[in-house]
Amino acid sequence: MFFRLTFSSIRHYAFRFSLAVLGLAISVASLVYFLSFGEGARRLIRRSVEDFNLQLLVLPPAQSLTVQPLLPRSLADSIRSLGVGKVYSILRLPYTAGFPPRAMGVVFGRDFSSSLRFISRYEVVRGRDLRDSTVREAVVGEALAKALGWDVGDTLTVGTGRYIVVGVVKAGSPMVDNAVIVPLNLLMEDMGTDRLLAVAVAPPPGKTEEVLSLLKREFPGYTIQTSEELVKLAKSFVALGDAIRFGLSSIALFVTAVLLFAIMAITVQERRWEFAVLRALGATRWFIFRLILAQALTVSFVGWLFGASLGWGLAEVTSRVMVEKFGLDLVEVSPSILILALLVSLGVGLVGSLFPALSAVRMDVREGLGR
Amino acid sequence: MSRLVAESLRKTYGRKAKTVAVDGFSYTFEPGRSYAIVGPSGSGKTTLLYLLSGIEVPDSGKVLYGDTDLTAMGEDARSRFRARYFSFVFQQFHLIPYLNAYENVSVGLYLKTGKTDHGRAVSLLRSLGIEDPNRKPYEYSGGEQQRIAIARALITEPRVIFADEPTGNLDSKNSEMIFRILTGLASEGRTVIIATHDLALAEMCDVVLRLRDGKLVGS
Repeated sequence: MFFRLTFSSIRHYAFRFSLAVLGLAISVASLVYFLSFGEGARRLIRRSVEDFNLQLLVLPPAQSLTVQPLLPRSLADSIRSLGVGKVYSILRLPYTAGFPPRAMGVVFGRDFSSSLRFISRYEVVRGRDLRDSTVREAVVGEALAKALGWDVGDTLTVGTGRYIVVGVVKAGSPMVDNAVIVPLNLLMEDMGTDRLLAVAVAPPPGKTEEVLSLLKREFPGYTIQTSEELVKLAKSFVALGDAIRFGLSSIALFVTAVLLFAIMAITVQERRWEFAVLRALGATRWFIFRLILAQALTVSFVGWLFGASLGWGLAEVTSRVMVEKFGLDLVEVSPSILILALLVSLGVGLVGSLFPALSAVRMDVREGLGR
Repeated sequence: MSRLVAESLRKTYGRKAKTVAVDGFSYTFEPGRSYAIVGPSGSGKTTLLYLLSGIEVPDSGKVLYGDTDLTAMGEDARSRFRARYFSFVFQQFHLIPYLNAYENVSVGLYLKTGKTDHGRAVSLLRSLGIEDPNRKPYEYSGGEQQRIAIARALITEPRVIFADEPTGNLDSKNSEMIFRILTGLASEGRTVIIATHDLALAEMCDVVLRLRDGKLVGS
């Protein structure tokens, strides 16, 4: 009977509660949609860590994230001379095809002088892998190849060099699937640079802490980070983005809370006699309070249901467009986003209905009965 | 069944210029009898019903049902007590518009027991001449709506039934029928207390209490 009273009254005031559901649905949809970008970025970070053999990373002085190659090439040899494990020189440059860009990717230099396989997980789906550091050959990620219509045998230009595509590779992560991989020494030559982006070090098993201390001691001016620190830093940037996007969604949520408050306040005012009758028949104040909250929470739940579906749908469309246009999937709707949206939606329902519910509880039964 | 006892009830309204609604009302209502409270508008009939049923508390005086002092109880305790022992019938019927007749009747039982009983609600409605319990209140006539309200009051098997001007919105034929139903409930051992301004109908009750300016002036 409690649920009957709850649902029937919502149906009785269908128009106004539909407006509340609409407001909630829009707010929840924006929340789910905005936060799905952060979740996508987190997934990208996760996969990057899985795809790259990152254990220790030596970066330019006082910089933790960089897009410019600033490290002297000789640094890798200096580190290698310490006998701290496998050392890999990293050079990664942005790769943009056409203007406006038809696709965006990266160019990786493959360090043939290192026994470390820096890009640890990719499979060759057509052609073959790189074999020789002296030949201008390239392997390209499957997504980039598809976006630009490249295949084995085609020629591409990087800097002043022309490379023949010898293979198409696939890793399942956006970074590698949108990459062009060429020999490191030729890439540096063709780009006219003798600088590296970073140097990766893979210490022998169980020696990570020891090597970290040694590197910090030997190269005090450089930033030396573990993969965990890098991931943590990247995630903190994503979290900052999440907070900003959540803040934007909060505007819609606040407006919805005010709308719900107005609707609940008007409805409670109109139903004063009804609550008074229930009180006269023996309903406690707690019963009336629960009844109003149940109505608001039901509306919130339905709003969440529609909003989450809408937000999810928008995220899916965006994801497909991004994959198609740029080969990057930066959008993901995770269960945690949906649960957060549900809690926020129920919270809005609670906040919007609390005061009207309290006013109904404090109502004078005699006045409510119309005397 | 217990007696309902009013002891020196006094109730005023307003902060500065106080209006006395009930003034020193004392009376003992016996089980198995029907009472009509009559008096002109503003004589305090409705306030008296609200005081006796625990909807409101008096400024002074007591309401006792058996050994229980309603005036000493908290608001929610009085609500629970009311759900258990009392029932109310209103002049405007006060049926919930989005519930059908059966559901309106079930609300009364639900508030008392937390459960509903479809068979009992339907048979009660049928005994009061409501054959189709699935229609919304506005689909019934005034007399039928009041009978549904009576069914809602009766389903909890109350010991005391309060009715505030139950025939105020009905024609004479329906008014007589409703009064006959209500006064007949006293023969089952219940106490029936009806506030009315219709003296002719009031005469159908076992006792008529006359109220003027909140005071009991005769019976």
